[in-house]
Amino acid sequence: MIEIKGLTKCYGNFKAVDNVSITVPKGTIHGIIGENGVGKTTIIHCVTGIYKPNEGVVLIDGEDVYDDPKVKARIGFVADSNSYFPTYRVKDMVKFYKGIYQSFDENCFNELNAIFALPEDRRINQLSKGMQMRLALMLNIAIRPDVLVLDEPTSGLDALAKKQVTDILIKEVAERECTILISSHHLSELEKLCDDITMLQGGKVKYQSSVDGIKAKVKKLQAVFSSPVDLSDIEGILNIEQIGSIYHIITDDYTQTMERQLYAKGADILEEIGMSLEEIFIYSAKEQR
Amino acid sequence: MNSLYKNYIKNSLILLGGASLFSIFLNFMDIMSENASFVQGQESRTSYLSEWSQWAGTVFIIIFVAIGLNTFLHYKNVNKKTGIFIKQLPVKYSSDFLFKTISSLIFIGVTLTVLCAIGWVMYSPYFAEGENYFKQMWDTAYMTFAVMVLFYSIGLLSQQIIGIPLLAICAPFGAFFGTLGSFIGYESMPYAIRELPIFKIALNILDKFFEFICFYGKIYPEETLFIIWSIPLFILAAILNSNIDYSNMGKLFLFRRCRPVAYVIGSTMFAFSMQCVVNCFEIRSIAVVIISFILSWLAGFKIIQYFVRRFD
Repeated sequence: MIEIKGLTKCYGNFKAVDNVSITVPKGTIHGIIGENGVGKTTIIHCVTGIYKPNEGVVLIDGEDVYDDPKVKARIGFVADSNSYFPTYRVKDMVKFYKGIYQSFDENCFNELNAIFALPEDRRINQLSKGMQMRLALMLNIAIRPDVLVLDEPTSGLDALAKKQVTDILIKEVAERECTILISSHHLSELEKLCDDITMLQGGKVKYQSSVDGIKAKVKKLQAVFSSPVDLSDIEGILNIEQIGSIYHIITDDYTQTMERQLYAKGADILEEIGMSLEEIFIYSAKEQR
Repeated sequence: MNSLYKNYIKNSLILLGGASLFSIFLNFMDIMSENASFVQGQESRTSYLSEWSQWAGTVFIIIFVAIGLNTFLHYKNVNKKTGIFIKQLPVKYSSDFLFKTISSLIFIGVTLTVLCAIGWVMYSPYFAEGENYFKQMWDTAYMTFAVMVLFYSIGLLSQQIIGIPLLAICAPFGAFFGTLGSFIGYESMPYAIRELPIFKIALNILDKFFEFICFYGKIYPEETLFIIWSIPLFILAAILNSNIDYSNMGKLFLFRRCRPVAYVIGSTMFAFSMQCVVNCFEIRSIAVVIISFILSWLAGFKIIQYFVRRFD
């Protein structure tokens, strides 16, 4: 279980993450989404014990992670850019990981390599970005972690590899009750994979809920007005797109009051349209800007 | 010992091997000409020892650079991109210090053995004659060892304070030349200024300080003093090491409070050092010295500020 409590991390005077709290129960997958520079990687680096929070605490099963090797030994971390020792061969990295992590399971690594087919004699600097990402995934899954933290894990992977990674992650959760925290820009993948989502905005939590919960909160309404109307005085509207007499209204506060207000403005037809996580993200980002 | 430390040791041994081979090569080249002279009976034993000391000095520099390079490479791995990978590993950084210290001292010990072996082989004709040249060779090697331990302790302390490895390695040399420049600059100043009470008080404090740390009045060889000085530096480095916030790695100062100290001491050293330059001019009035001192101090401040802004 991962508990992030009141996490604040500053770089000089810049507050990258501001009072963020996230709880990821054991055996679940939690996604962190947000625009670039919103603090996703900073949170992940705090969770993996790389950064020391300015305020707040990150607990793995109740234990503080920062500078505690025992806790860190239970965390697998796949960074967006895994800069391993460039002159090491793949097999050297396996040996290195075996020396660092007592729980490293070479059989597991070999099984994964049967899927990903990485040449073990090749040096790290001769591997493509996608191959390096595969290696990072294989190494970190082979340590049999209780907590797996992934920062853009499918970055640089082809469609087949993405599918394989998704399957492996689901298997890890199903078979070993591994707790997974993922940050990704591939929202369609997260939507399928995650139990819960945290959407960040300006270093703070904007939404935090299950995927269905967020979808239930943020809605897209299609309204038809016979004549042009001004909807700016209605509270809770994130975005409006107009095509002729059809208005697409995005709201994160759809209540009966809003419905009444829209009918009062002259809406002839009003209906809800399903939104993907990606659409929710885009409209939220637009609102921020 | 985990893989990370094994990696450090492997690099150390590679560098040691490289440095030793290079020193053996240099000595081999030298021994060829020395042997020729010996056969011809043209060289004195003293000059042989003098030559040996020079080579020992050369090897000392090579090994010191190798240690610096290795530590730099190690810190490079704890820094920036690869650093993210290193810092995620379940390794406690505080023990890193102990490891580096011990491994480097082993490194030095092996180096000394290599040095002595080379020296002994080189000068065996004289050694066979019954004179105890080995003792003198050992003295040179011991001095080398003591200087290296002192430099290493200063370097290690610098690394605990400065987050840019290359600058941390340069710091002991900067401090050394800064201090030397300050003394020479002070000596260059007119007598009237050196007689000012402020300087007298400052010098008195410095004198008492050095009296304290140099064990004046007690008979210690320089080598022992060097090692004694290095002990508190190692202890201080260890204390700082256990309190480092590695999140700040890659910034200039790991300890923010060192920043004002660097500004004040650095600017003052620069201002004193610049008095050597001012001394080159004919006009040596008190006003010129004071104005040039203030201007140099401000220039030193600006230079340090540039570096701080550039790297921090």
